[in-house]
Amino acid sequence: MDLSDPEEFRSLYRDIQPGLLRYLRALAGPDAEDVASETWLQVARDIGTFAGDYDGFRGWVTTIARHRAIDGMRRRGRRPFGVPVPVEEMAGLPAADDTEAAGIESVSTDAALRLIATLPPDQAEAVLLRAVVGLDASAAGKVLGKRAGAVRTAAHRGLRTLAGRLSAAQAVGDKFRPGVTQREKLALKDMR
Amino acid sequence: MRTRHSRGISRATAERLLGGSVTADDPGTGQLARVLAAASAPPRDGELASEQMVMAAFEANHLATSVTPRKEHTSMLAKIFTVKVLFTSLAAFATGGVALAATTGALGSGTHRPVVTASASAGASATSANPAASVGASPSVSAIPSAVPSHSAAAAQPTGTSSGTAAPASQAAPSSTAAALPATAAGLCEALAGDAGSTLSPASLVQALSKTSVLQTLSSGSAEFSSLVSTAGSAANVADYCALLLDLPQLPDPSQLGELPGTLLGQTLTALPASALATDLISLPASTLSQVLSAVPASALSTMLTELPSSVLSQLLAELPASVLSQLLSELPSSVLSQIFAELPASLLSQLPTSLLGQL
Repeated sequence: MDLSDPEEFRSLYRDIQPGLLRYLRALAGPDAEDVASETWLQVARDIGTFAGDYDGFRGWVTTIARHRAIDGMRRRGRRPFGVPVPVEEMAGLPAADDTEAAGIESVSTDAALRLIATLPPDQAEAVLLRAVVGLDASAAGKVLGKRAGAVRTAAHRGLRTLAGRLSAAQAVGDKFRPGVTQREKLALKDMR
Repeated sequence: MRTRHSRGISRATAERLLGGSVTADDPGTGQLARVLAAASAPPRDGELASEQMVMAAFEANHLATSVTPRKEHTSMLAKIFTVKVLFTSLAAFATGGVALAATTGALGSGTHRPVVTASASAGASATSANPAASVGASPSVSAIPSAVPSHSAAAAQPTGTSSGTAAPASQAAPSSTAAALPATAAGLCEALAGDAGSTLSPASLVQALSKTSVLQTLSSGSAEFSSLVSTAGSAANVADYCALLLDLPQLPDPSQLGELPGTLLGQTLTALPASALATDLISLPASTLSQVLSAVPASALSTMLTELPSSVLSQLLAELPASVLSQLLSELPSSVLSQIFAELPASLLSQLPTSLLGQL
């Protein structure tokens, strides 16, 4: 891995940025884009201080992003995972009518992220870092300042909760045949 | 609302799901696998929107740290020096004997030679590659006594004038803010960050300055830091001011930068190495960028714009509304304008009023 090569750096960016941005959107809501950009600017500037392999780089970038997101929210008096998903993202969702027949099969990326973001913060973060950012349990642990076992447990609990919500939504869906959007509203209502 | 189904996911199954090795056809966990697959689906439009900006920052950094600059960089730097020295000479005439010291940060690293003919016409001596040579009379008259400690490894401090500091020299009439700037402004900033012994890393300094306790200290009217507050204009502006003064890797509060007094912005921004200037400007929200560039004196603006790598320059200028861009450019001398126009994409040029283009 030659981090002084612009093309190598570009391909790392392209590989890491989408998952990182999705994680930040759940963590920091509307600040996600700004936090991600600031993170990469810091990475571009401090890249000389990084030593390690590809997975280490992914973890390093994620750690910077998480610190920046949490610092930023603290300054604004917000809580992580406390920001509702921006309205414009709703536009990306298929309409209820379209999904009526297709059901959960057509779940969009935004809908999936929104569903994960309704989990308790530690579970949501563990699931996102592993399944979306692509870190293994020990790398995710380093980012979160936890042991790998604790991350596995949190992610496991998160998946169990999600599976419970999905089958409950399915049960409701079998009765009323609502679309994905309505199912999520039910899931969100359960959280409050 | 838990069902038996949800309890059925074992730890091992969870690991397989997280690793992406469960297919959507799996009867027990198919739904969950679909949700996870959707969450980690291939990139969509917009998710890579920051690529150009990130690569510009990477290249700006690369430009400053690479030992042997590539060919095109050399020729670009030669161009920059031509304009910079020419501009310095013109300004010397305009201000009549006020001492100047144009600082160029990392660009003045000695590998590039300024074009001597340009400066010779003004009678200035520019025999070394260091453009911080003083033009005109007594070099220390307007030198601002703000010692800038070199926190950044990339910061090649210009070997300065007789004062020996990396003083940003804004040759525009020394303003009251500049006169009031304490010799220990940088030291006060370090004290504010709780770093009296200069032991913290730049990144830790940024974090320390970002803390709300810093703002509280400043707002409480503490006499110790009152000079920082008055120089920066308000307590909320101090963190960014300190970050510029100490050449820290980031601004603690980028959107606040536009609130700093224009003269002070001009002094601190032109004192930064080109790569730091590029990173700081790129990190600003578009509205703050407009505010900052409009606030700095025209002379500082010329220095900044000619110092930036062309990729960064076109990126930054493209962010500005056309009206702001026209206004900014109309303040610049035509020598600087021609330099900048050479870097702008045609799409941007076409938005400018013809009166500006006519000046060339």
